[in-house]
Amino acid sequence: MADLQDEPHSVGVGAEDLPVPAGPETKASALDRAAALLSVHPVADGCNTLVWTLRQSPYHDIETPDAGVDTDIPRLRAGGVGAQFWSLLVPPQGRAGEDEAGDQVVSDTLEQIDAALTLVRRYPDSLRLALSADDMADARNRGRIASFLGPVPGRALAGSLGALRAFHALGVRILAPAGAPWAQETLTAFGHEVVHEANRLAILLDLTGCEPAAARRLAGASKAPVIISNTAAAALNPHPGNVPDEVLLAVREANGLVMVTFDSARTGDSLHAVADHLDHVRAVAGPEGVGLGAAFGAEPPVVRPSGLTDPSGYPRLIAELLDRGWPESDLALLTWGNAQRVIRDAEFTARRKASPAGV
Amino acid sequence: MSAAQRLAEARELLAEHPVVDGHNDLPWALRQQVRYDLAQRDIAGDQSAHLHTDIPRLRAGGVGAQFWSVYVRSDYAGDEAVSATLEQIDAVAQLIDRYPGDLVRALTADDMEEARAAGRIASLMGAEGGHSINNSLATLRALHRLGVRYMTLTHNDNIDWADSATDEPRHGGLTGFGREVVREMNRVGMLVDLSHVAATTMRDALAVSVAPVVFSHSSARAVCDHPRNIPDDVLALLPANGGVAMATFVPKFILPAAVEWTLAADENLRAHGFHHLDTTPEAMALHRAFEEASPRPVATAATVADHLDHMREVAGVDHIGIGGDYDGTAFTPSGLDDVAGYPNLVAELLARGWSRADLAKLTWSNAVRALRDAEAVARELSATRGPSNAVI
Repeated sequence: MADLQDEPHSVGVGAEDLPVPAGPETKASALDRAAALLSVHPVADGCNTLVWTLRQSPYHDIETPDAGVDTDIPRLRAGGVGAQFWSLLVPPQGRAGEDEAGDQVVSDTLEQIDAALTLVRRYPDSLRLALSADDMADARNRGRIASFLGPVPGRALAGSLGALRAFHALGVRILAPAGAPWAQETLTAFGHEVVHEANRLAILLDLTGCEPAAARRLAGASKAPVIISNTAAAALNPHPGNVPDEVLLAVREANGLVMVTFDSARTGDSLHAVADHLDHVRAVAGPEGVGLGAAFGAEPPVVRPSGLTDPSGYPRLIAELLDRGWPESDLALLTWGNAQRVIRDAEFTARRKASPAGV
Repeated sequence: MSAAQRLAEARELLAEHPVVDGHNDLPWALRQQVRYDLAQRDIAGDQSAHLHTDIPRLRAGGVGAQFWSVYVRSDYAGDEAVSATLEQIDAVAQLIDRYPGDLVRALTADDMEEARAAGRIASLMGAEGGHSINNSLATLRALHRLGVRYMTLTHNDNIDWADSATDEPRHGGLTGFGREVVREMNRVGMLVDLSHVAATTMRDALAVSVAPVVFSHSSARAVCDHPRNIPDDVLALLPANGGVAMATFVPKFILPAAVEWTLAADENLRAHGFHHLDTTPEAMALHRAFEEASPRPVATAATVADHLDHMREVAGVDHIGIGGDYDGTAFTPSGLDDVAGYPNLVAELLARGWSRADLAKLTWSNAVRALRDAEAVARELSATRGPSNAVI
């Protein structure tokens, strides 16, 4: 639906007014160009786990930088982040002190949603709850970081579409099937129902962590684009969390989006290594299928690639990609356009499902 | 005035001051009977073969607002209770979507008044038992965001933080966490419902709550000594609290002869090795045989009116209401057989000399006021206090 793209694939009006460095022979440095680009096409990042981290150690004020956690508002601002998917996944062991793993995943997920809503409400000058692609554009126009809730874990559905609709009513817009009993090697009949209902509600499916076979089936079953919110290319690094080219192609086929993480274990430990993964994903999934999902929001000692240790690093990464010859139109897709497109496409799919003619 | 005239006057009064009913278990009945397949129980038409409740009878009964119970069984625990509650909430949302000409979602007292003006039945939700929040205040807030406007602190069994009326005393009322649950309910604007809880829990909750409480379906213990009813000393606390005690119609709680009959019937089941709530065919056959040998005492609108007379005396006319418990009880009083019966109760009260002003408070305005006051308290509290993250 390229004709419905919200943004022209180029640097917008504001960038033309940027100061041009003196001297006819010097052009703007790549970093300046990156900053200019991000001011118009900010980063829509697919994964940040701050909500869980703050629940474990609630003594952070994210309005002030703190070495204890890698995400705060000043660094999100410095990095040019304009939209964030706040992951609400619950570690498999669930609530501390519970004997039966998983018995608390529904309440834990409701607690994650509550904590995320509280976070957004606490920083109204910086964060703005986003429920739709329109909200995403609206937040950017107001200089706020559009905050999407999700993914929630698929196993929190506990066999119940009522729970999925409750999560949607509470503001959740992304669901991660990985680990759910209905999305293992095969997609069960209930799994198909979940995909159908997620499509009907415009909830994006995040295939991060799914086995390649399950990922392909989910991508095939979904009528709306799917995403992989934080991953890297297995072709470059055969880490179990990275996706093979067959999955990249399946996502491309489904007009989906693969968002590349910044994690030394998966991408390699330099900014260049991350750029290599982005090159590869762009080559295989296409310029319209590549995005950013750093998966910040953790406490040390998660090892990050040098230069990308916190959200303030995005402009350096964009500068590197400019140096590698990425056209600005592709960069605009990478940072913002693709994420906005998949959300809007999911909304179109939902509307089509809601209208009898589209059945 | 003849009985027919009184009934006509009752209907006319209800047209202006419809019933706010505190408790109806239609969602659970739909879950049990047809697994929420609403097409199989189309309440736009007569469902009297299966249910106490359908829209024509709600209309005939003069119901203007209904707290639909999103009850789940009290032997559900942990996530099972939470998921089931979310499904119940979802079912109410589907009902409202399915019958937009008759039901309208209501979250506030203003919504209730708007529904009345628009001739729709304001549809609110109440959760029945603290097991529905799995010891999590965030889950409580989620229920509130999803539209739940009261929570009964317990159902038939004690929970980790509160004693039930029908279980062995364990905490002696509310625990510290239980008091925090009440404070958080006050802060978010969810009414504290004290039906089903032990008298100790009632008193603890009334001591902590700064917002009006409700009894969504409980009557007077002085009239019929059953633990599900409200002792006089607690009724007497309602004027200071601003709350509302909504008299229920369940015969085995309100009619002393029915209380005794039920005790004997339960004992008969236990003597034959069944749990007294067993509904297997074998247990039901035994139950029917008992009923044939020993006829079941039948309550009437007068039985309910006896409770309301007493409750008006002790709590005051500003603190009483109606909570039928339809589709949550096997037997109903004669004349109040289903949701079409409310005019018979109003007619009975007219015969006893209740004024139109008193009746309007009973049917409509007391419950609306309690919710409005709870909203005001929530606005005040949430301006100065953030969400509580206390854990048990």
